[in-house]
Amino acid sequence: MPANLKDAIETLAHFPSVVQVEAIRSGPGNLIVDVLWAVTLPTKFHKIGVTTVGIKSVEPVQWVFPLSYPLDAPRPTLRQGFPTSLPHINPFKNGDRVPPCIAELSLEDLLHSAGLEAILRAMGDWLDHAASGELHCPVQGWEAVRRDSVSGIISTDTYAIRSELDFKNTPARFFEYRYFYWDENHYGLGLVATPSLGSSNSDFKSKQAFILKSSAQRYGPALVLQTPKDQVSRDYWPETVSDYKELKELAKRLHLLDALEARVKYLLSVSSPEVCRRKDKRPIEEFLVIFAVRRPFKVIGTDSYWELLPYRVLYGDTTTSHLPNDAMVYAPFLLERTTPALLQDVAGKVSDKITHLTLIGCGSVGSKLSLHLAKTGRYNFRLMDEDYFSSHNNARHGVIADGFSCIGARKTSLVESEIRKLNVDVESISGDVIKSSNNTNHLISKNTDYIIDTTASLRVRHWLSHKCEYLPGRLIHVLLYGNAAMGVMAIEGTERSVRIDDQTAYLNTLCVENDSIQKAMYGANALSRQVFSGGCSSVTARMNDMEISLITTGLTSRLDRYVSRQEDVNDDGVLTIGLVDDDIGLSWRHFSMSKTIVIPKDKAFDWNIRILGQISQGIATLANADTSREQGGVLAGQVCHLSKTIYITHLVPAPLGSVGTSTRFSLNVTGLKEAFQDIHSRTNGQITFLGTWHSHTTPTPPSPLDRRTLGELTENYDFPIVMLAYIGGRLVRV
Amino acid sequence: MTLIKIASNDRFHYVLVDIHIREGSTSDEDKCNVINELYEILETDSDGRPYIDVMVLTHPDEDHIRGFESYFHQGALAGYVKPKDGDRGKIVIREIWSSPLIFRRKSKGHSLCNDALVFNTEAKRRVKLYREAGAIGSEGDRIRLIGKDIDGKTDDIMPIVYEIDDTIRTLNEVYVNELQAVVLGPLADDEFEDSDEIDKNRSSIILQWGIASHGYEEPSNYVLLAGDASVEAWEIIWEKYKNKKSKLQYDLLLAPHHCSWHTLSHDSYKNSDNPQVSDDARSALSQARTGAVIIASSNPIKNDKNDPPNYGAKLEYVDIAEEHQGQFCCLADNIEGKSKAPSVLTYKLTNEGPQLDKKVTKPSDSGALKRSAATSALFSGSGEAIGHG
Repeated sequence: MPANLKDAIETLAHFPSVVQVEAIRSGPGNLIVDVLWAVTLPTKFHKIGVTTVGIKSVEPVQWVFPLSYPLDAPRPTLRQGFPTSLPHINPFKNGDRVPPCIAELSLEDLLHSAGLEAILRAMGDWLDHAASGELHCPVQGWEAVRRDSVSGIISTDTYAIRSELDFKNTPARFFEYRYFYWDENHYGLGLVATPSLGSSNSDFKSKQAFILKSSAQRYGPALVLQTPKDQVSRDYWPETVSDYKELKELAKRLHLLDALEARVKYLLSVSSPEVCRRKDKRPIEEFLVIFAVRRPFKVIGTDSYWELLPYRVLYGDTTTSHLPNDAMVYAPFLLERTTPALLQDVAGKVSDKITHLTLIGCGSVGSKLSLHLAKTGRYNFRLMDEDYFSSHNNARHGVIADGFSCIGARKTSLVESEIRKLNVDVESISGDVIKSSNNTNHLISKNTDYIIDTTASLRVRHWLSHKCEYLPGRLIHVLLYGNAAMGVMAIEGTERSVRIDDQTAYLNTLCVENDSIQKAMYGANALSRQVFSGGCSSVTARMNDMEISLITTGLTSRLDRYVSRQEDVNDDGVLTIGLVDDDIGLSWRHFSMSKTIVIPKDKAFDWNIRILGQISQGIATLANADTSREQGGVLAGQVCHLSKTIYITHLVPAPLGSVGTSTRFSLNVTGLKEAFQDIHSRTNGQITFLGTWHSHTTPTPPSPLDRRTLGELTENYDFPIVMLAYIGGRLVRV
Repeated sequence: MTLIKIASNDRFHYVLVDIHIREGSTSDEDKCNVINELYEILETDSDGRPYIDVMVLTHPDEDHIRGFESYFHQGALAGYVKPKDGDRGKIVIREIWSSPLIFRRKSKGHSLCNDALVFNTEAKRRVKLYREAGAIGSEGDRIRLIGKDIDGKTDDIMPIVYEIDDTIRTLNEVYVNELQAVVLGPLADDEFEDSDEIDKNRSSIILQWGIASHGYEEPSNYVLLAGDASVEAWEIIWEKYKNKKSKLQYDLLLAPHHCSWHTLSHDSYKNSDNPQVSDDARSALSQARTGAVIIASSNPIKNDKNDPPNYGAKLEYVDIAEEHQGQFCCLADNIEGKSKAPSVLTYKLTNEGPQLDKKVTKPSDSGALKRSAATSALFSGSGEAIGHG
């Protein structure tokens, strides 16, 4: 005997619950150890030595150790005749030893995680719980009826069915049932479509029972019978139904017999083989009955007290008015259909609120982002992109497509197809979002909660910033820089109080002082032109799927947390920057951006000025530090010549030597040139000198001196020059 | 000391009935280290403080309140002193259940030990807060009185008084579906023939704890805890409930007054040649359910004249238990393996009544045990972490 097995049997023999090792013998590829096991009975059974259901104070347990132990775990079985009307018993054939389900995780995992003793303890606990009537544990939930053999698989949205059961208690509901046969033995694959057709007989009509000529797919009725809400069934039973007589007996036990017989009688009158033949239709073979049974606590794996017990009932050669007792009934396996509710459950966050997203851009970032969000089950989508899928996209896209799938396929269609597999609502619009939009409402539906731009297109950004006066949802800008070394998510303020162009101007400004951001945006890894197929090129950079996925997943998770209100949410704009270090570590910086002050263009000055909230607040703080003297400094920021917009994003302190009195502020310009050379260098010239600001000690309008100085400054620069005066608590353009 | 741990919804509720924590018991290997055992079981709140939801003091005798000052927090929670590194913090009592004896002045039959005085001060502080606010306060300031006091002393605070025959279903202001505790005592002074003198023993709080298994409502376990209730008290109780015996039924009975003869008899066991058992008192204590266990919380019971524990009383309880296919046991004899000290006796309160819990709770397992499920290996709290593939 291998040493491992010898040790294991020694451990078993000395386990406190083991009263006696009765026999050890070899089997085919295993070693069988029969032991007597002491069970702790509740005190009321001590004297008689057996519980009401038949658990004895000493139970024989057979352990089968595979010779591959410890690679594979030993398995316990209980005597033939052990009470089987208990939950947590694995399916088994009649006459076999009874296999208890002692752990939810696999016994191999338990063995390798916690050792053989953990398995033995689990066996002991199982028997003790069986003795005390506690195998059903409210914490774990109600175990569904055990079906030792199943015939067929039925897929449905059980969340939708249970939701209807909770919404209104009605004895019977009809659903559409589609099925086909896998083999000649009536092994059926079926689907119950939701929502229900209704609860009255007229909701299922004869014409709804037919067989599709093209696919042999059958359409018939499914009947859901619901026990009253206040009638809780606490009895556990293993599945035994195999014909209509036994189905009726079960219905009687559930107080559903009258409902069953009445509805079956109706179904026979509209969908039996005889009725189908009379109407010159190929007859359908079966219908589905689902008992919805109210349990004392939630069914395992669900958030519901309703256990659903499906039965496939075969008509056989029945007349219209009578289904014989020996009509065959099969107990199929009920398979949960992929639905948003299931996705939410598995993802661990359940919400009634579905967030509507419009996604502009279905490239690498957009596809990954949308698929991640779709898998939470809490979003639906409108997708927009004009691009076609190319072979090289397979290197980094969220969708893999080959052959005909990727010839001429729109990226939107491919992503839509993936999301649709999850039964998540999605639609796609292929084409140029700008050209297709005479007005934004045309493409961005009114119920959009968030518009996510993942195009990284400056043109799209320009359009969203300057051409879309109104957007139905909050705009979010997601893009990567520097070979995916940096990811950015910019969320606009409410009612566009902070726009994405403000936020990207500020992002450029951050390069002045932050080396990592500067390196990602303007370092050696910035975008370069790459050619991937004959005659075709695109501006992109070489990076692999892992690099792009890492930062995109992080950004998507941040976005999800923000949208689901797990992060601080207010009217401010949010700029979130994720940086990947050389050790693949992620660090995050967050900037809350208060409302941008806008000084619109006028006849005298043909430029819109946008002063970031933190800049206007910074000027106020400096000006109010000493109100007896004028204060001042230098303005810097970005200029957009196409939209004629000036973004004031940075304050350069007045150099030493600048002098403020009660009536004037004299700026010393020494060193400013060098300072701006450095700023230009770090920002690729994006952030530049824009002008000056100063405060007035009294609420007087800009003076003639102010205007003269502005004139002198303007003459010396090609750019538009701004002079701001802080007067009486607000900023005015001179 | 009895700890009742009730699972309800998604948490446990901890009820501690009486305490007897000797300073020496923390180091004496012959004694059960009860405070250590208690700390092992209790959870801590969000501020890291160990807590119990309810503490019941059946009566203020020293052997029912010893250790209160040392191990339990007194005063407002704002004044909770964080323990030094390596030390354990004092236990927070979220709600106190006390008899109205706390209002009585010191007299010949009503002198209090130091721990009882400290308890009284704390209980009075909580009653005062209720009187001032006219509303039940926060956790740590809550109190319930079990039974009305004489002379209308509790008339103005009746919303926090449970009266005789009340069924209690809340612990620390939380409704517990699994709990139905019936108030059987303390009996009022005027129910006794000699009602002039206070007797702490006969004024013990007596509760029949009906407890259902987690998730159920109908109790499947009954635990009768009566402090030191005396023979006079049991005779009166029998008279009151002999036609409603279900209120006296039990699966677990803590033999009153540490298995004292005076629970069952008016006669002295030591000085009487033929001490007689009171039929009524015995009847009251005989409402055992099938398989009931009667437990003596006492020193070992020897065949001598000592009282309590008393050998004659033990024989009566053994008879009662055997009449119902049950058993009698003494905690002092509950010694496991080679240990010199008695172990904590633990019963699981199941759907089929109490079931002896053979396992010892280890700290590392507590997380798993808190969520113990039918297939107990579901939430294994030990072993190598299993990742997600």
